[in-house]
Amino acid sequence: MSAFSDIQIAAEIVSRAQAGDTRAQESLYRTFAPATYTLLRRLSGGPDLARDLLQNTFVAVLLNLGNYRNEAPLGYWIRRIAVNQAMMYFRSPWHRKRQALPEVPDHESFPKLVSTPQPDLTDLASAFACLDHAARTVVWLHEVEGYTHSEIGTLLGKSASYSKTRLARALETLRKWREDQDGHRPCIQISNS
Amino acid sequence: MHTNIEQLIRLRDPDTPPDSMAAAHVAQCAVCQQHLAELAGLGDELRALPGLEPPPGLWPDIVRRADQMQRRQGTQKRFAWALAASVVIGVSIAPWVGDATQQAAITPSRAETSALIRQSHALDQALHALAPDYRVMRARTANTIADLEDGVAAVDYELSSLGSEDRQGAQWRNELWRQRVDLMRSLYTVQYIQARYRGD
Repeated sequence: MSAFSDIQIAAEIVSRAQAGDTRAQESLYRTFAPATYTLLRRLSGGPDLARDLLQNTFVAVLLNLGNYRNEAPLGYWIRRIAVNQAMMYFRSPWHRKRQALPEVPDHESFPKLVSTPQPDLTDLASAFACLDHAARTVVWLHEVEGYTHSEIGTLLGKSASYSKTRLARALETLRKWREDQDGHRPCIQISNS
Repeated sequence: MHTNIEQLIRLRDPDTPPDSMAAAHVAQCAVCQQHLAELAGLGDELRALPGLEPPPGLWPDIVRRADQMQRRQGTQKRFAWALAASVVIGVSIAPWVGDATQQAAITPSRAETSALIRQSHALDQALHALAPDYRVMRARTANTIADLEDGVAAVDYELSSLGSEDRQGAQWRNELWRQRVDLMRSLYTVQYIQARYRGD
């Protein structure tokens, strides 16, 4: 279940933050930053980009807090902004990691790990971070955050079927990686080219 | 023949209509049951991954940047009000002027906005083709680029949060796309000069 669903914050703090109380705004940041950072770290695959996206997310939160109308829990509202920030980054042409969303090939191929996990970090989180960003997005949003394929497809500018196929293949990649780990085979460099 | 990975994923997906043949196969196939259990286990493990603490000291930067953007948005809103006021004035005097084309001249046509969107996308692609190298860059150039990129990001954010498509909404959308094109042109120019300077 999404970490955002467990986060509680007093309505009074939200109201004060909306009214511009900086201490309440900081309290809101302290409450939601860990879950938001975790989400962005999983989607982005690395700490530097996740930090930048976290900053962008909370800048957007502060700028738009007045528009929050309590229609959904605040955590979900912040999560939506964070996911949008990540998607905007992945779509931006001027950033370094610009790569088009890979089309799902017709033949039976699976997403490859695009970089090598550090040798001392051969856990699932490291292997997950090595997937390409579209695979990470689909797996994390579906498996952990509970997004539907239709929602994910819309975010990625693709169809629900794209999301389903990416999910299946990314999970299979991770399963095979796990199998290799169990067989004590090292996590080797697999080129994406 | 065992079920394939996509059939297995569909079996555990509440969004997808059940595949009765695949379900019947898995019910009596130990290999596929094991495969399915491993996939489900991966989902469980991902959900169980520990949360991460954000780096310390980000909050002051967030507040500073929000202040900067608020000032920028204030300027944009004043511009929007001025624009809206001119539309209202234009519409209110239109009956006296008696020229039906007057209103069309004030409200941007869809075609005009579409042309701006096309220009913006073309500039995105042109910039992409330049493949700027951020490692070789003067600090002042890098700051200029960062400011322009912030500007584009601010416009993108405004575009993503646009609401109704009434006349004022259409004016504002058109103006935002115009601003985006201007910013992207500047960004492209700076990057082009930078690329020439590098000798690309």
